[in-house]
Amino acid sequence: MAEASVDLEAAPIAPRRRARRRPLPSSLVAGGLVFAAIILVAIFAPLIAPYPFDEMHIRDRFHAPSLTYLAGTDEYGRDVFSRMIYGARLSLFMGVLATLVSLVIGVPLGLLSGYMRGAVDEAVMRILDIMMAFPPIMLVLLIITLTEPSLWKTSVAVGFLFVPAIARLMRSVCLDLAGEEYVLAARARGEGASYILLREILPNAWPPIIVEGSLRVTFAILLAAVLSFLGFGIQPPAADWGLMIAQARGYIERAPWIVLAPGLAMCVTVVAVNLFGDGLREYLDPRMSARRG
Amino acid sequence: MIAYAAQRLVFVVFILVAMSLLVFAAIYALPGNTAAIMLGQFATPDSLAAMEAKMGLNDNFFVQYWRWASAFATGDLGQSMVMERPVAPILWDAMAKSTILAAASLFFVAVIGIVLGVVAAVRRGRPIDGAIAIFTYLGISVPEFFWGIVLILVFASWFDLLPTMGYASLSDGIGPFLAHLVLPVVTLTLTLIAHVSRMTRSSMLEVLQSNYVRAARARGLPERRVLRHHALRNGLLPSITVLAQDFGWLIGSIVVIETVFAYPGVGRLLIFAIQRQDIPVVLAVILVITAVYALANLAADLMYAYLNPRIRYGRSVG
Repeated sequence: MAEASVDLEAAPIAPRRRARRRPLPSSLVAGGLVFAAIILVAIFAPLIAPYPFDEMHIRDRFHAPSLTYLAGTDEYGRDVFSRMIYGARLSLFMGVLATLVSLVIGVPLGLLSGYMRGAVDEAVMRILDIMMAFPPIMLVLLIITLTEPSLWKTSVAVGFLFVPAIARLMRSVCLDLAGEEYVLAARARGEGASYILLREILPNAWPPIIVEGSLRVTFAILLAAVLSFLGFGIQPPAADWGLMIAQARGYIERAPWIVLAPGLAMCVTVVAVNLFGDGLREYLDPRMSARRG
Repeated sequence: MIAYAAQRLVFVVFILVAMSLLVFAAIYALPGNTAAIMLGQFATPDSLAAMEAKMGLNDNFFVQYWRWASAFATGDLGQSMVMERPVAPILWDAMAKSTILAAASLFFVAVIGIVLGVVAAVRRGRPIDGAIAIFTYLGISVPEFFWGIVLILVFASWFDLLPTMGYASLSDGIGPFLAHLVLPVVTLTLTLIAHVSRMTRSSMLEVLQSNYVRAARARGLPERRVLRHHALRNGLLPSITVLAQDFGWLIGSIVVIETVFAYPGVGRLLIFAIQRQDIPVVLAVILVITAVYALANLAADLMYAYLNPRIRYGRSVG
């Protein structure tokens, strides 16, 4: 929400947009609250989790969910509930890092492309075309095959994948804003391109960036889970949701809770962030959501 | 139209060359060359040098690339280091099996996705609209492998209805052949359906509020006829684009789903090769998949341009 308040401060620049405060959409509130709760759980995981994520209780292997082990135990007798809580850390970390990577590369590219137009625009768009011409996962798999898998690398690779979408969005927003009166005024004052881009256009381009970014977080979480599941993400014994599911696959009949618990956690996270993103879009740009029905 | 097609075709060729260069540069830069990997850890420096000379590893980058690329173009996809067989037959066999999976999934995604989208748009705000939204949301709120495992648990472990692993060829009978496809195809459909049905819903909503639909209704045409003759024709155009866009994600999902269901397709081959560091196989698979993807995009673009002459050729949309 911090970014949203930044946007409100930018109000004097475009007063007609924020003439009145609208009520917050319920999806924004509900999604935001759950999302905030998950973030808190991730931050305070060691305090909340009943057991350390890698503590083995050899006598209690495959223990069904009970009061001692809320979500049962896995093949090493590790508490699934505790691992689920620690898993929130890794998933959110990867989701947020990947999104940041895509924003840090994509936003400047889109801004440049949309503001400079001409040859710069053409060059950037062709490069993005080439990036998008590769099947999405293949590039990531190629990077991961040729180098050792790690948490950082997976996140950066996933973020890289989202750059074209972010840059294109940013470009179209920039093209829209470049025709606004305050941009024309700044140009008439003789301001340089960097001033106009950073002080006039960027502050007004935040709403779509935040919305797109929040939705990208869920894509990144899912994609990172897929890579962990395939064995190319975080390595055992880390408590990652995708990895937990991959390792528990063989015991699905004997102990389905080991698979279901992290799956449920992922589902709640993704739905919450999606609701938050959709609600944000509705709040920041009611015109757009009305059109989308 | 022809100029547009030619322009797109040149781009596809360019992409393939770029990807092959990238892929080859990756092998080239890899520490420990192919000769060292083939000879194993007990290789003497002499035998290593002999092997390197035999394989032409001392030539410069472009000579090596040209040799590799021209062999590739004539169908020699290299030699698997782990299976010690040529890659080509293994790859084509796996491709055929994956194609069955992809075609069936794409068919169900298109048909069910569009039907759900149209129903949701026509019954906007009614309970059925909400039910469809929740159903499609479920499909994308967890990764595909989770649904795959849950389906295995329900239909194979609890009810013992369907096989969970592998593939049966048509020669084993149509029953087993179809039975092995059900769970993977259902999982893939569930994963991909949300995008198509949401897109169809929103574009149908837009069309249903348009002036020509209002005019058709004002003329007193029956609703069914308005829907079929006026709304559907224009409302479904974006769905085609979405289907084409999703083809890339379908490829990704197939890799995952084949792993979950031990389906012997190209995705499983790729993961198998990556896990065993069988670089020639990895590169061949990635290149062939890129080619398929590029051609599918080309086909989609051409179909879209054909169906919608308003599109300005040669300019990227959005």
